[in-house]
Amino acid sequence: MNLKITNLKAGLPDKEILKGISLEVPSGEVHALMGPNGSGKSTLANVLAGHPQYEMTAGTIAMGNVDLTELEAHERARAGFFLAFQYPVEVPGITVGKFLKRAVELRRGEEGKFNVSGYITELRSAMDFMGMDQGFINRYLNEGFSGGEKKRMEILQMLMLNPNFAVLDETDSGLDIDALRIVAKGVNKLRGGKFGSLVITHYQRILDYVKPDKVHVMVEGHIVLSGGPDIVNELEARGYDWVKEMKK
Amino acid sequence: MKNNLSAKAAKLFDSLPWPGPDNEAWRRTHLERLLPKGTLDAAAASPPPGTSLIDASKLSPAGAQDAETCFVRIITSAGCPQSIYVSEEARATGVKAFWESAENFPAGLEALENHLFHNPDRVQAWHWRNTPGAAIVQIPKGACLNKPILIEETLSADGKNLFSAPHVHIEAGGGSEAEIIWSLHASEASLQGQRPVVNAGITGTAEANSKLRVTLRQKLKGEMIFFLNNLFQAERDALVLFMESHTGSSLVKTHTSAILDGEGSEIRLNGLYLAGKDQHIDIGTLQDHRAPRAVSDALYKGAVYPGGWSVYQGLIQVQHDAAKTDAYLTNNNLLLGDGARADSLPQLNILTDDVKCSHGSTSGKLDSAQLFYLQSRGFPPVEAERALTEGFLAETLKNLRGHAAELLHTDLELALKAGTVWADG
Repeated sequence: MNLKITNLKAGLPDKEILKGISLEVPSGEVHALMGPNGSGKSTLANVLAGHPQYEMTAGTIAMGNVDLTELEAHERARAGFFLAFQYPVEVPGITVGKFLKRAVELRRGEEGKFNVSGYITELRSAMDFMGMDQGFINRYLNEGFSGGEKKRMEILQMLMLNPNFAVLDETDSGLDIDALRIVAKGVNKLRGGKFGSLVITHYQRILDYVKPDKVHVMVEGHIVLSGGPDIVNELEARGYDWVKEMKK
Repeated sequence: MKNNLSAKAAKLFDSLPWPGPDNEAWRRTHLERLLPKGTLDAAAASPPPGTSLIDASKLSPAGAQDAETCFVRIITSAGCPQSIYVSEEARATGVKAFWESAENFPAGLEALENHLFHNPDRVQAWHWRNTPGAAIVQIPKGACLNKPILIEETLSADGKNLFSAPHVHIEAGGGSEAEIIWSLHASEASLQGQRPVVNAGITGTAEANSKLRVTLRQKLKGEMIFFLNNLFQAERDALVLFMESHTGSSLVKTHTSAILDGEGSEIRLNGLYLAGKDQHIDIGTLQDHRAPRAVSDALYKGAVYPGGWSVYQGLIQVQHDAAKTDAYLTNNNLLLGDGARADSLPQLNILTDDVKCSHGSTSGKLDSAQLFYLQSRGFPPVEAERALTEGFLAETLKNLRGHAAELLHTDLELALKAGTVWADG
C-alpha cells in the first residue's frame, strides 16, 4: 500500500524537528531514507507510528485510503502500519508467544475466533525462516536478547503481522553481515505484492540486500534530495557534506 | 477446656487494646481511620459458628473428579469443615489430612506457642482466641506427594458470619515433599453493607530435608477485612516456598514469619498484591536466620491504583549463631497513576559477621517506552497497561508450577481486568 506524507511538521513541544516533509512511497515499492545523524530520520519514524511524545503541528499522513494523521498508535498498527524499532525495548514478564499471539489477533480482528493452532504453526515456520530458535517463544520479549536477536524479533513480528506498510528504523545498525542478510531476507519476503516499505539507514550496506526503488536524503528536517538507487553510491563515495550544502 | 493456645490468646485479647499508630507495625494501617467506629468490636463479639459443623463423621465426601487434580481436598466454611476428600493414592502415602477442633490441636502446633506469641498484638490473639479449629495436614517422613493438597475456605456472607478465623497447619516430615494451595473466597451472597472480618493463619513446619510449597490465594470481597499471620519453620536443609496473592479485600494486614532454624535451610517468600481505589494493603515479612548457612529470599510486588495505598514492611534478622547467612529482600511497586501510594520499608538487623544480606525497593510508574512498544503492535493503551502490570507482578509467580501457577495467573488476570475498571471509574 502506498504511504503519502504531505508537508509534515512535527517535533518535541519546544523544538520543531521535521520542518515540512513531503514524501510518497507508491504501493509495492521500497524506498530508502538516508541522512546524517540528527537529521530527523528516527523522529519521522516515531511520528509516523504515532508516538505520543512527539507533537505534529502540520501536514497529513495517509496509508492507502486510510488517513493516519489523527489515529493513535494502536489504531495505526491495526490499520496495517508497522515500525521496526531502532532500539526495541525489553519487556520482562511478557513472553514472545503470548505477546505475538495477542498482537496478531488484534491485527487480524479475530478476537474470540482466533485459530491458536494455526497461529503456532505459522509462528514456528516464520521462526525457522528467520533462523530463530523455537525456545524464544517462551522467553520474555527482548529480555536479555543480543542486539541481533532483537532486530530479528522485529522482523519476525513484521512477518507475523503482515503489515501494509513498514518503516524500518536503522534495523541494520549494529548487525553483523549474517544477521543483516537474515533481516533483509525477511523484508524481501514481503515484497512483491502491495507491501510498501521505507528503510531508514545510515549506511549503504543493507541496501545491497534490500534494493530500494528510490532513495531520499534528509538533512535538518527536510528532504533535500530524492532519486534513484545511484544516490547511495554517491553518498558512500562523497559523504554527506555535499547534500548538506544543498540544503543551504 | 480449650488448649493452651486458645486460653492464652483469650487472656492476651482481653489485656491488649486494638493496635494503634503507636505500634510501629500498625503505624501505617491506622484501624481507627480506616474502619468505621466499632467494626472490629462488633466482629469480635459476633457469635462463633455452630459447633455441630465440626463433627467430621458427617462430612460429605467430595467428588471423585478431584482425584485428577489433587491428592487431598478440604473444604471449609467460616473455618469449619464442610468436606474432606483424600484420594486412594494419598492414603497409600500415609498422608493425614483432617480437621481438628481447637480443643485437640496436635502437639506440633502447640509447640509453636513461643513463636506465635513472641510479639503479640490483639489481632493475632483474636485469631487464636476464636479459631474453632484447623485444617491439619501431616506428611509422613519421606513421602513425596506429586499432586497438590487443596484447601478451600469460603466465608458465607449470609449476614450471620461477621467473623471467621480459619487456620491451616502443615507438618512436613523429614525428607517429604508436598504442596498445599489454600484458597480463600467469599460466597456470592450480598453483604448488605456489613464488613466481615477474616482473621486467618497458616503454621507450617518443615522437618530436615523436606520440601514444602504453600500457596495462599486471597480473593475475598472488596467489603471484607482480611488479617493474616503465618509462621513457617524450616529445619536442617529443609526448603519452604511460600506464595501469597492478595487480589481481594479492602483492608489487608498480613505478617509472615520465616524461621530458619536449621543449618542449610532455605525459605523463599513471594507475594503480589493489588491496591485499588480505597483499598489498603499492608504486607509484612520476617526472615529470621537462627542457624548457619541458611538461605532466604523475599520478593514482593504490588500494583497500586489511584486512591489505593500499599505498605510493605520486611525485616531480615540474622541472629548471632547464623554465620554464612545468605538473605535477600526485594519489594517493587508499580504506581498506576497520580494519587497511588506505596510505602516500602525493608530493614536489616544483623548480629553476626560473615553474612551476605541485601535489600532493595523501588516504586515507579509504567515505562513509557514499553507502553508505546505494545501500542505500536496494536495493543490499546488500557490493554498495554494491563499487560505490563501483569508482566511486572507475574515475576513473583516464578517458583510456582502446574496447578498453582495456573490458578494464580488466572486470578491475577481477572483481578487486573477488574482493576482497570476501578482505575477508569
